[in-house]
Amino acid sequence: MKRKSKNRKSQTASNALTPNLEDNLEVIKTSMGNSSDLVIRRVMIHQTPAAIIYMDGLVDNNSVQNFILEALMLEMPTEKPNHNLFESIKESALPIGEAEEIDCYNELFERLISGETILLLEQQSKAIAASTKGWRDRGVQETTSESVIRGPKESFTETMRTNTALIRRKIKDSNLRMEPKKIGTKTKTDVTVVYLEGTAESEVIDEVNRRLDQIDIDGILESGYLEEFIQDAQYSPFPTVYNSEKPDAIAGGILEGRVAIITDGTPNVLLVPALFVNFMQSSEDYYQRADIGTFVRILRLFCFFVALFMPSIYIAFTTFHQEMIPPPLLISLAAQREGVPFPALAEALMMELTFEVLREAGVRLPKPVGSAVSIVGALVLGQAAVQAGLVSPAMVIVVSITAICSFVFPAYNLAISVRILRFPLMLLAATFGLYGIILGMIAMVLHLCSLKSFGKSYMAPFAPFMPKDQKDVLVRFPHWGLLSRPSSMTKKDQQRVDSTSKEN
Amino acid sequence: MDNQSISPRQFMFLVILFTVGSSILIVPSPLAIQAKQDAWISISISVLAGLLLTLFYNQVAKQMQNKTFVQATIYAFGNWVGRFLLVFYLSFLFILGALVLRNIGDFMTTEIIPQTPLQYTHILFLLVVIWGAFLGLEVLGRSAEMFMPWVVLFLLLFIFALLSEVNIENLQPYLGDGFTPVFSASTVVIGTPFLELVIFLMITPYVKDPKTKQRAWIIGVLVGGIILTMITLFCILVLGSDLTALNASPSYQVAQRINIADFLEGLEVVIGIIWMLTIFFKLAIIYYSVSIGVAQFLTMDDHRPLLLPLGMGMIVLSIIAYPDVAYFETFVSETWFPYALTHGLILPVIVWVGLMIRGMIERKKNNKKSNSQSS
Repeated sequence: MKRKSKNRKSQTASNALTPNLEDNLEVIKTSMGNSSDLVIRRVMIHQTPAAIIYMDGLVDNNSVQNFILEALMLEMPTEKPNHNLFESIKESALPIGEAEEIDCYNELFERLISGETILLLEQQSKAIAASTKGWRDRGVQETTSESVIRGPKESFTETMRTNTALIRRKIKDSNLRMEPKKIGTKTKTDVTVVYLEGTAESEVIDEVNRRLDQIDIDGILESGYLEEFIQDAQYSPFPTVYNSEKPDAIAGGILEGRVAIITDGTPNVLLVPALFVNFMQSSEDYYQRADIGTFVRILRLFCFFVALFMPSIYIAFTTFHQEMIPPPLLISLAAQREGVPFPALAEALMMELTFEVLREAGVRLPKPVGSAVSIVGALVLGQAAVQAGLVSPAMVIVVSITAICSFVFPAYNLAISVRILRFPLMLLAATFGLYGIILGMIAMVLHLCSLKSFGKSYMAPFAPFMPKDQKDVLVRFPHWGLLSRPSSMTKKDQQRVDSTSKEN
Repeated sequence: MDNQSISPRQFMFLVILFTVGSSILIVPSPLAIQAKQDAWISISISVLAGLLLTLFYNQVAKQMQNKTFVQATIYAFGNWVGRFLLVFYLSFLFILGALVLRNIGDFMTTEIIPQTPLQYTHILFLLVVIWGAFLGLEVLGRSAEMFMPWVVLFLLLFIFALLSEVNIENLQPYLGDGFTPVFSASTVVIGTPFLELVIFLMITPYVKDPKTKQRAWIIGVLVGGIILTMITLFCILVLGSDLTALNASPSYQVAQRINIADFLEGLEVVIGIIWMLTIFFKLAIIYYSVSIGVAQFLTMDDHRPLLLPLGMGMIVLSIIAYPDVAYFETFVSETWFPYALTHGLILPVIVWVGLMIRGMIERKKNNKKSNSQSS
């Protein structure tokens, strides 16, 4: 609040443009500290001195060349009596989509730095800002972190406009709203809140806007910054904000009545409210046939349990409950563990940590070196450690199954929370056996049930149980059976499919 | 208190879990001692009695009008007499909580983790219960919804897997010793869990939808009673009444007989987990009710500061409550029924009558007021 009032004060004090062109240019030059990418081109338009100012690299050189310089210097209509040069330029001489009048330095700098071209005239305390934004970006490419077999392969880019266009191209509805925001006192990052008017609940939209408007920070470099500000559960290992770089996943979320938050400069778009089940679903579930989608979802749930509990169950069974293992298996397990000098917990912790290190190294390493790490990792994890008598072969199997299962989740942030929660469960298993694991699980479920994401219960539609929503959670009905939007997300505009659309 | 509310469905699940919890472990063997092969008949009788009790509790709940039992008692009898009665009620709940905690501790240290000291088993369990009571009733209701499908699934598995082990001769002869032992055994099950249902008088005000919540309570008791009956029946069918009477936790022992294709053995762990879940919910409900009860007794705004101190007391009480399992068996079959009857039936009757008298007085007052206003 304080900062805002300060801004306002300086605006009134020394902010207005002066009629003197040279003075204006001088102020701009000194404020920008004679930056090398600041271009000031002086021209004469009908004997009036003028200046065209833009930042090199942030503007599209072609449009500056063709639609501003050329239009003003070559194709300027001939002078008519008693006309206002400024007005006629603004109204008839600039063949450019967005051109706006500005009259204070603050706005001038903001627009200049975000890539617009400023036209200043002598004897005018106003300027024209023409939108000529255009810079090198990556272009729409194939997604790297969320790959699919069937379905669109495009992913978001670092440019806001491209991203909004990607969503618009999927949802051609005039009710699709895009509310712009600027967050970050230094970075002035563009943030857009996207939702479907009439479908998304207005409480959720208001809540998103309220939380975003509260943020007062110097810079936003990635949507992760925003996520930490707006998420409900600050001290929870579980994510309550969904993110994806796939336009189809985000569009699907918007169609369910959720709100997307696009941040300029990152391909990761946020989606709220995010429930636990959303992290277990992939957009591909909807593109494959319904039975396959259902099977894959149940498989993922199974993998969730395996990834979370497998090492701790191994520890509990080998240290506390040997009598529960079938005798033949017990004998071979005991024979394997005979030469291993560590207790099961130490063995498991060692292997899990090694694996986590390898995985982290695999992400950070440059691609050519990556394969070397995987060879070393495979040898370390697989062969050498067993032969050296450090770990038992069964432990290697447990760790690798756990690892593979944790790769199954479509959402990386849920996989991370599973990886973290594995360790306290292993400790509980080593101290209290199965009893500890079960209590840990109960505590985890209690915590999950207490979470909320933007007013929606995190475990819905399981708890609170919503019979109508079960059609699209564990089981995915065929699309002609997904008659209504999930009521755990929105209660408005429920109908999705008309029941007559598939009649035999 | 915090304005939490649960749906009738969640309430029903809590009632089911409460009815099954801990009774499932401790009830079959005293039943089999007294009623022998007719234990399942006496448990069916007690389920009927439990349903009647629930009808009565629903009447009390109606009279309480959105107050908890503690608030209603203070309202009916005034600050001093009301609190005097409540000391008994709250101490009953607290002792019940300690006993349930000891049940799970005994079960765990005899069957699953024999080397772990009892105290630590209790402390760890109670920590999770406190965490649940801290998060509140809404969360407990929701997690009951999360766990209920698993409980049902594994109970079905339990029953179907044991079908091949059933020996129908274990039930014969029917009523060999006449009706007397059957009836006297049924008091055990009326004492635990059905008279303990009085605790839900602390919970009902937080249930949405007053019409269906009465039905939810009755259905919950019925389903819980059927589960108890089925388990007892299977204990006798599979183990026979003698072995059922000898075992400390026959419903766990019977699961050891499960053997599917010589491959799926040792399923008793899974059954043990299900018993543990039900006991967790039972204790969590008790603990939550005790803490909000004490908070309302002391007219505190929040029950959360009480959670840890009450827990320390409960740990100690659960350790010193009884010296050994043999003592506990006689306690359950002889002492508990009159004790529970005093607090589970007589006390609510007193409060019920008190509430009705109080209501009449209030109505008269209102009438007088309206009369004087109109005249």
